Amino acid sequence: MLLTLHRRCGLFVCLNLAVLSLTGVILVFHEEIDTFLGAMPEARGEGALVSLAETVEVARASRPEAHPVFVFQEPDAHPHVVFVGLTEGAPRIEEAEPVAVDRRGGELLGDIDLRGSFTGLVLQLHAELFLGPFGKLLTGAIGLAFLVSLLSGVAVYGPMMRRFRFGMLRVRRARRTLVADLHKLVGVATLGWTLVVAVTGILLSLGSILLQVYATTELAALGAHHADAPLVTDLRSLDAAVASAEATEPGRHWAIVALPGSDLASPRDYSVLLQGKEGLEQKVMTMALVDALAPERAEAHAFPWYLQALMVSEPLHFGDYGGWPLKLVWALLGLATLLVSLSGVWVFGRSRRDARARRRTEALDTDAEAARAEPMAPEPALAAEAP
Amino acid sequence: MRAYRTPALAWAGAFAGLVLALVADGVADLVATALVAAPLLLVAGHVRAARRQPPGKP
Repeated sequence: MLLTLHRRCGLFVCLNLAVLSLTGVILVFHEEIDTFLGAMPEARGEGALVSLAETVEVARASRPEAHPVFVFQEPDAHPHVVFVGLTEGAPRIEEAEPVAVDRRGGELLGDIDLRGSFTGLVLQLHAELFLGPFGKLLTGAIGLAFLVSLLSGVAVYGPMMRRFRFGMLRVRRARRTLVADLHKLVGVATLGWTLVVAVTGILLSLGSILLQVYATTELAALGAHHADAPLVTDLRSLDAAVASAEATEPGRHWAIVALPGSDLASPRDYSVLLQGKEGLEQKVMTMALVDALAPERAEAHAFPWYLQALMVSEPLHFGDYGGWPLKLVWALLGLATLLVSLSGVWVFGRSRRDARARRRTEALDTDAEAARAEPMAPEPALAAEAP
Repeated sequence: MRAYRTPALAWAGAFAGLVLALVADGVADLVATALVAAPLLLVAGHVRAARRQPPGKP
């Protein structure tokens, strides 16, 4: 039964897994690809840094009909560049399109088409299969089937390999035997990594839902006292708010600010997400809620466990948190997963074909034996003449 | 359970490497990468040994 489950789940995920593995391998190197293709802008200006409030005004002036939803920075990858998310529709962070502004001189660096860039398209294929929110859930379901296939695979591996030594590769037997041996060896050896990638992938597919759950429960409760307040559109207090948020968590700097009225902030608060300089502190952010009308009032807040798990999941899934060597290993492991999946399907198809051929041969043999065993019946005319 | 002995070591190494790479920098990062890469080296070792196997051996 476990073997049947392993085979069925493996067959279900095979084609999707091929797409996910190949796109995943590309996404491991997304920073390098973006830099090579010039998809992300670089600061060119010189001189003193302009304030964050000014950068928001510069972005807002570029598209007067849109309103700002978030401000975002990645000082390691894009020093002195601030991205301002603008939207004309609902103030949802996910739907806002970023505009880059050079903080050295406040020059507009232009719109960034994150979804339309090469890696953006690859990410959409990887995370949503070009099907939008439904695609995310579908990818999650594929991830779940993949997880079941992995767990059932490891369960059947033990009894199957009881009589054999680990790593047995029968190179001089039929090709099917060798490929099956390879499937088992690579599959079981890389299972630790594959499990982590599968579980984190499932979590990431639920990312939007988890964020919405957080926004409508805990965050809504935190900003409840300002829920009916008029929307703050004058963002001159932004720099003071960021300084006051950073003061609540020494050693951390701001990474994202959800502006008042966005889906991650009340109409009167800034939600300032803070990250550390390295290690786990860089991955797991904390938040400070700051009153936009009284920016000296900041309140630190830790994210719930499921959002912390989500934040850790991203680097653990995409493998972009180490240096070049780790990225290369990640890509090889992605290709190994592809090999395991394809070899499993090939062995399954081949064994069915061989079984069919064997049944046909057996049927022919049985017919031939039956024909030989049957005594020769006399011709009816001769039988009649017999005494 | 004997069949799981070597794979379990590979899984433990990979988990340790993934976590270490998440929290560490510098030399520890390289150690972490080596641990994550260990299963691939294990596979490569067995493939190499199988290819060198003299004819007639099971």
